[in-house]
Amino acid sequence: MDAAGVVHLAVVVLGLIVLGGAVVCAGADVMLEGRGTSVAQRLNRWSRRYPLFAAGLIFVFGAVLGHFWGK
Amino acid sequence: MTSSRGGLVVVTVAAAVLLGYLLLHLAGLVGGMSVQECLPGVPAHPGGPPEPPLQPRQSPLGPSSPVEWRWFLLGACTLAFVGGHSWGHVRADRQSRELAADDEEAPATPSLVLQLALTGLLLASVVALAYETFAVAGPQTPERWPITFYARCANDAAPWWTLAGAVTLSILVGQWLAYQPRPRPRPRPVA
Repeated sequence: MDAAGVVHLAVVVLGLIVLGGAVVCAGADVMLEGRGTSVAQRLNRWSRRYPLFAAGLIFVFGAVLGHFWGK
Repeated sequence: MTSSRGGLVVVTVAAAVLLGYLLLHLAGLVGGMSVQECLPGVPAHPGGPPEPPLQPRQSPLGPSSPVEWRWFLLGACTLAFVGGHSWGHVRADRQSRELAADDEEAPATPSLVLQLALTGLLLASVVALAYETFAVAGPQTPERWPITFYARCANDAAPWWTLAGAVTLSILVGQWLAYQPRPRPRPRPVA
């Protein structure tokens, strides 16, 4: 596969991974909404139960996002 | 169906449409996305400086647009995030009213599904970070770009689809991060 083919495949697979995760989470949220709860509420409860773990997770994702936006 | 659930269904369907477009694209059934303009030219000499993706020759908003594409993209995502955040607060207020006070104050043990999902998310992050480190440190040929470069190439090759995906994600993330349960007033003791 030439460079264009690899880049094309990587771009599409990257989009599939990101959007696929979003669709799964949003679908779960639709189901949970029917039960009077939500993904956000569960995340909130989890972060209150494990605050240090949540802080570590935020640090990792913040560093990743900062790297993506950097030059 | 509640308005929140209706809104969620709309956003989920929007994300699913974008996902379907990518799947059709992967199968070669639809076109309209060329990555050729991202590819850098032949390096002046072997082992030369890293080659990031090239920028598109023309803004998707047109040559006479007073707004630069990157600011338009940033503004749209910011608006979507703020909108999703406001929506999330409305949902949280409603759910706080509906839930029992005990349920809010003593968090239950998280479900196995949630813990597995978070573990999977962390594992995926570790893999992505490991690849990113490897790609940034090594020779940055188009076959082994950092993930960042592929994301920039997506923006250059399919700007409107990328904008739609980024806005959809911003709405969802803004909504998920907005949950702030309001403490409910305790019932007054009977004198």
